[in-house]
This record gives sequence, structure tokens and C-alpha cells, in this order.
Amino acid sequence: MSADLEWQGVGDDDQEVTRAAGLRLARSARRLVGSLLRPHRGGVALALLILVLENAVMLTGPLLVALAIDTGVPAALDGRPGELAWAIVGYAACGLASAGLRAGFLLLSGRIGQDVLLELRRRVFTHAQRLALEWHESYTSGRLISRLTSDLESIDDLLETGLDGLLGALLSLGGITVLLLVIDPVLAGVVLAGFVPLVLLTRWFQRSSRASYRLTRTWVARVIVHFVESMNGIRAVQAYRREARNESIMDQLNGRYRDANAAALLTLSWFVASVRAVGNVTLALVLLIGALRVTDGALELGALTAFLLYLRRFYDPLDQLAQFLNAYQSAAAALEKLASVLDTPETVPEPEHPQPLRARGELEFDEVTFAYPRRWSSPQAPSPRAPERPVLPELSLHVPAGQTVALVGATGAGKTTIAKLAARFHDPTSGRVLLDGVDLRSLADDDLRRALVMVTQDPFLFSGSVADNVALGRPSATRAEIEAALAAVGAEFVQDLPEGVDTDVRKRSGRLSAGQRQLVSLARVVLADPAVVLLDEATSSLDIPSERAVQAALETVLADRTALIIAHRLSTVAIADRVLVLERGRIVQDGTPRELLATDGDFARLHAAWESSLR
Amino acid sequence: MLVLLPEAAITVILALGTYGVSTGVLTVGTLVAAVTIMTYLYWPIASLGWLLTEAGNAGAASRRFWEVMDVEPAITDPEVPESPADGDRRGRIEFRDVHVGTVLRGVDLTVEPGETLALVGATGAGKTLLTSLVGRLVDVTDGSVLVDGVDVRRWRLADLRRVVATAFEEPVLISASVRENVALGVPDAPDDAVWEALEVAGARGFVEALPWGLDTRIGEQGMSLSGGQRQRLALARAVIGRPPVLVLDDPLSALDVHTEAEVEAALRRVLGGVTALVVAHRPSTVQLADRVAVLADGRITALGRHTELLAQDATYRDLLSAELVRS
Repeated sequence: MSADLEWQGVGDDDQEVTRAAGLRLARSARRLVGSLLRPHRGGVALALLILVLENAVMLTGPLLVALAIDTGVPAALDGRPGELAWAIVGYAACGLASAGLRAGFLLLSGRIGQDVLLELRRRVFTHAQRLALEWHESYTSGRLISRLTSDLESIDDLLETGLDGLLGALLSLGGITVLLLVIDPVLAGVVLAGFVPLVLLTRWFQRSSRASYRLTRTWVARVIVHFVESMNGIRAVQAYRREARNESIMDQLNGRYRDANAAALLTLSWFVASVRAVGNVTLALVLLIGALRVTDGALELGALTAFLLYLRRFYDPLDQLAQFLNAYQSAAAALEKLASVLDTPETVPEPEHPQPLRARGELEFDEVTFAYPRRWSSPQAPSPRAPERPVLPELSLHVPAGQTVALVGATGAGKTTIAKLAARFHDPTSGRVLLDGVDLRSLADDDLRRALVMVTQDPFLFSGSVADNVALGRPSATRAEIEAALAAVGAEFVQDLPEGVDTDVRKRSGRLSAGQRQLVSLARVVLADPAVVLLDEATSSLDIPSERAVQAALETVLADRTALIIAHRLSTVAIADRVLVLERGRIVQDGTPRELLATDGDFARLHAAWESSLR
Repeated sequence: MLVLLPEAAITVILALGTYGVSTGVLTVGTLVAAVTIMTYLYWPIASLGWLLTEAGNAGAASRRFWEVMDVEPAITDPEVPESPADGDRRGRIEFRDVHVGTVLRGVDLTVEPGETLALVGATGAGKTLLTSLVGRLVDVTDGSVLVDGVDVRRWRLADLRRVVATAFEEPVLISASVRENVALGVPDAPDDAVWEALEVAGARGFVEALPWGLDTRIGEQGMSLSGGQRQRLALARAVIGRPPVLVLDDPLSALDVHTEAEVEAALRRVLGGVTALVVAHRPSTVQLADRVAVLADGRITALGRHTELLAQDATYRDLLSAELVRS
């Protein structure tokens, strides 16, 4: 890493793309294109047909002009204007037809292109939504945004302009090759020999421009990440006078992005120039050999002239091809990035034959071990610095239906992991997690989500009214049910909002405090009515009056349900029937809060510390 | 449709031209030349269509650009900045009849040099807003805020924010090295200064244990840190460069019971010898302060020591008494 980028620090995923990894990337990008275009096979074929017709019509036009001049005019001079009139009408018809076909092609290819982009955006969004939280923690939203905007844009470019150029160029190339072969096979052989350096050049171009474009995708993502992070932390930026530093970092990243683009353009210009040079050298050779053949009498002078004229037209589409190749390389680099997002495996596949479930809420961990997989984010080889870390060495735990269990332990002790396994955000490395005797892996996702709800106490409210946010618990709920749910958790504050339950939570007047947001999320649970609740206690503290309200609401919500509470601050431990103290993934203490307080252990010590923070 | 125009023109030329040739006004050569020239016009006209669409797009985009660029920054340097007299540079904060919108309605409060004052109030009372005024992240609508006897609106912004360090409830990390995160606004800070700040904030230990020390990338794209670690880094960020005035918005909020004690100890070190305004939700934070001010109904309704207020002030008891939490 160069000195000016030192501020980034060192991380796990800093290695460059190796050759093998590059090939893997290209392959997955191609597979993605294939799967995107497959549903549009018919449309693509039709577009091709239209293009062929359009080219044919366009080629007919000049023939009709020739007809008008060569036979129409003399005939008209002879007093038979009919032929001339037909030729002119024919030409007008060709013009109309080619315009119509063009419009048809643009419409069709535009629709296919937009459908493909729509599908791609949809896939990236849906997939990203399903991916594990760990993935999102390391894959910044800025990077994801750049995937969905600038990467998709370069694919859009390719679809909009590239395909047209490619197909047109290929058609003219094919047609002219046939003509050249008809005129003089020997000279055509010379022309075709020119393809050897062209193929070599193209391969060089593909490799080096792909590398350049990969860099442009990486740098534009960093530009966006820097932008997003700076604006999200704008208070800190201003309070700590970081504006100047941020500007210089922005300049740096922006400059790198420009340089990467310049490098890609330089590669392109070398490529185009070389293609032209090959063309000109071929032309000279054809001229030389052709002239010799004319002096030998093997070739007519007129034929040589025609050959040379066609040859000029032969190289124009090559320019277009180069442009297409360029757009393709840029889009391909973007596709690789998107494909690597889409190829990130979902951690928990749906069962093929799910078992039915009537949930009562009995949870069982049967000799469960768990280690987080190696890094999710990098498509490259896993880094040697990130070894597998076993979070749960072996855990067996039985929670009878209706019990409220608090999990206590330091960061990294495995509290959250246990909850995530119960919610099937991950599957255990070995052993089984059972709900009412059924392995979670054999439950349909919908059934599991209905039976078990995870509540975080730092809840996120979506834009919409308070009622909308509560209704997330059960979208089919009636108005009365929503109000009843809010009343059940004691969310009286709603009545004081300007428009009651219809107040928009994103409007200034409707902004809810942390405690109020927690009550809304608990009302969601009441509405969802699951057998099991997983509660991630707030990591940040509420003020004391709010804490009282939330605590009262929790007692109602958890009353007749099985509950696992991840206790960070111990404020909810009082309502638990049972406390498990965890250390490095093992249960070191297990009992009622009263029992554990009486024994001299970790829990008693932590609880004393917590009590003193309240005095 | 722009393809249609040159095609139509060629047809007209062809019709008129062949008529001209047949009547002898034109030669065939002239007609051929005319048609050939028309075909040259074909591409320029087609690309004109493309240009028009693109220009429309660019026009719409540039309107968006100016929408952002035309917003004037509301908080800027004064034309003639003032700075406090040398003898007054001790870190005194004074709020004089401060109004902001309808939230703060006449706050009078003085934090003496070297004192730690805790600010307590119900959610939505305007505590964070009040703290934002000191570093002039927000301007008052009426009244004034003075630091070392000079109205914050008379200070040069960069100077004011060097004197006043503000730490927020949510410690925001950027995806960069630990060094960059701590030295946020002072990119040329020497490593010694960074380590010193980490030491004071009680963060030295865990930073030393990171795989690349100060160079380890943290934030979303790097190693993830626990709430307590993040909060201590935010503290280190505030104390680097030893600013005389610290404004801390609930520095113990994002902690679990395991780390609260460590950060509390760090805070005690940080608060020694500086003037501090600390927003507090919990009794444990209040106990770090010399005096406590209660903010309610847009005013300071009570001011005094923790024990006094517990005994005398009902609002304060409701906000900070632990009794009802444990039931």
C-alpha cells in the first residue's frame, strides 16, 4: 500500500486479485449473464432478426438508387417513367421500413435491457437482504450502494449502446467477408491472415482492460464509501474539524478513480490504434499483392478497386467492435462485483420437505458446536489471518416451554451466538437445535419465523406511521388489534402524538425516543404472538423512567412465552426465571436469579456492580 | 424518427434528380454526387437525436447539482473574529438566556473552569441540543453562549472547536486505521500523542492487542469493536490535543455491565483538570460530576449536588432514583 493511503490502515482483505481468482471472477460473471438473459431468449432472437432485416433493407437502398439511375432514367427518357417511379417508391419504402425496424429494435432491446437490469437490481437487493448479519457488518452499505448504482450503470451502458454496435458490426463483417471471398479468394486470404494479430491484440486488450476496469470499480466504491461515512458521521466531522482532512482523502480517492479510468482509456486507445495499424498494413499488402496479380493478368483492375473499397468498409465495423469490447470489459468488471455479492452463499438453506410445526415453545440445544465460517466478504482466497474461531465448543441446553432465560456473559462469551442459532441465522457446525422436538433445519422458514421472533432493543423504525410499524408483526392485523397491542405494552405516549397512531415516525413531530421505539417493537411482538421470543437487550441505556416503562411492558410480553434474553446490562434479569452465565461458549452457572445471587460467583459480582451503577 | 428525415430527403432528391436527369437539366454524375453527399449527412443527423436526449439528461442532473450547491452554510466564521484575553483562557462556559426554537426557552447556566457539570433531563428535554451549542454545531435563536467570555459566534470556528471537544452518544467510527480514528481532526498528530490519548481514555490495552496496533483498520470495513471499546476510542478522540473544554453526550450509554467500570475509570482521569459538561442518564455518571443541573420545560429548574437534589427535587428523583427499576 502506498504512503498516501496509510490512513486506511491494514485489514484482512487487502490482497490484489490473483490470476486464478480473476478467472474465477470472470466465470461467475459469465454465468450471471447467462442466467439473466435466458428468460429473454425469444426476445433476443427477435431483436436479432429485426437487426438482420434492417441491415438487409438498408443494403437494398443503394441498389434501388443504382436501379433508378442505371435503368430508370434511360427508361424514363424513352417515355416509360413507370420503372423510375417504382424504384423511387421502393426507396422511400425502404427508408420507412428501416426507420420502423430501427424503432422496433430500440424498443425491444431497450425493454430487454431494462428487464435485465430490473432483475439484477431485484436479485442483488433480495439476496443482500437474506445474507447473514456478519456479511453486512463487513460489507459497508456504501459498497452495496455502489454495486447497485455505478456498477449497474456501466452494465446499462453496455446494454444500451454496445449490443446494437456489436450485432451491426458482426453483420457487416460477415457480409463483407463473403463479398471479398467472391471477388478474389487469394486477396481475401491475405485479409483473413490479418486476423491472427487481431485476435492476439484482442486477447491482450481483454486481459489488461479487465484489470483496469476492476480497479475503477474498486475505487469508485471507495469514493462512495468515503462519502457515505463522512455524511453519516457529519456531527463528529464538524465537531473535530475533520473537513479539510476529509477533502484531501476525497481528492485522493477521486484521483485514484480518475487514474484508473485513464489507464483503462489508455489501454483502449492503444488497442484501437493497433487495430487500425493492422488494417492499414493489410491494405498495403493487399495493394502490393493485388498490383502484382494485376500485372500478371490474374486479376482485373476493376476487381482490385472494388476489393480495396470494400476493405475500407471492412475496418470501420472493427472500430465499433473495439468500442463494444471496451464497454463489455467495463460492464464485465461491474458484473464480477455483482456476481461476487450474488455468489455469497446463504447460510441457511430452506428444507426441501419441511415438517409441520405446532409450536408450544420448547427449545433444545443438543450437543451443539459452532464456529463462524471464515470471512464472508472477500471473493478471493480466505485470508490466513482469520482462523476459524469456535464460539461454542459444545452446548447442551433444555428450555421448557414458557421459561424466561437470561444469558449473561462478557462480549464474545457466546450469548448472541446462542440466540442466532435459535433463530436459525446460522446452522450449528455439529449437533442439533430443536424447537418442540423438530430440528430447525427441517422447518419451513415461514413456520419458524411465525413461531419465533427476535427483538432487538435498539429497534429500527421504517418510514411510515406508528401503526404501520406495529403492523409489521402481523401485516393482516386490524386497526383495533394494533391499538390493543399498543395498549398491552402500555404505549400511552401514542395518544399524545399529533396524529395518534397515524403519526409518521420520520416526521420531526413524530420522532420517537429510544424507550418509545422499544415499546413499539414490543407491540409488534404482541401482534405477532410467537411461542418463542429472543430478546437482545439494549446495549445503550435508557433513562430511568423509560426503563421502567419498558420493563413493565416486557413482563406482559414475555409472560406466557418461552424467552431467551441476551442480557448486556442486567436490567432485564430480574424478570427471568433462570439465568445462564456463559464463559467462552460454556455454561458456567445455571440457576434462578435468587439462587445465583446467593452463591458467590460471576453473576453475584456482576449484579453487585450493576446495582452500584444505579445508586 | 430522426432516421426518417435523411431517408425522406434522399427519396425527394432521387425523385427530383431523376426527373432533372430525364429532362436534361442534371447529369447523372451530379445526381450520384448529391445522393452520396446526402448519405454523409445520415450519421450526423442520427447522432443529433442522441445528443438531444443526453443533453436533456445532463440538464436535469445539473439542476440537482445546483440544488445542493446553492444551499448556503448557515454557520460560518465571523468577519472579524475575536479571541479571549490571555488571562481568560481557562475554559469557562456560560449560557445567557439561551433560546433555541421552542425547545430551549431561557437557559441560564455557568460551568466554572475545571468544574464537571452533569446535565440531567427527561428524553426530549433538549440536553443534546444544549451541548451542541458549545462547539457551535447549532446556533441559538436568542440569547448567547460564551466560552471564556467571548460569544461563540465571535470565535473563529476552527479555534472554538479546538478548545471545545464534543463526544457524542453514538461513537461513529470511520473505516480507517485506529490512528486516523483517534486523530480525526489532527491528521499530523504524532504517534506519541495518539498513544497518550488512548492511555487517558483507558483504550491503550486493547489497541496494543489489535493485530496491527495503531494501523489496524476498524469501522465497518475493518475489525469490529465492542461498544465499550468504541466508547473509549471516542473519548480518546475528544482528549487528544488536551482541549480545555469537554462536552460529553452520555459517555456511558453504549456499555454493557462488564465494561462500564473500565470506562468510568477512564472518564475520571479524563475529567480531571478540564471544564466539562456531561449529559447523564444514570446515577453512576452523575456521580462523576461536581454539580448537577436539571433541564426541564426548556429551562434549568434545579442546580446543586446529587445528594441535595435527590432529597429536594421531585423531578430529579423521578429521573434518577433506582428504586422502581428493581421490583
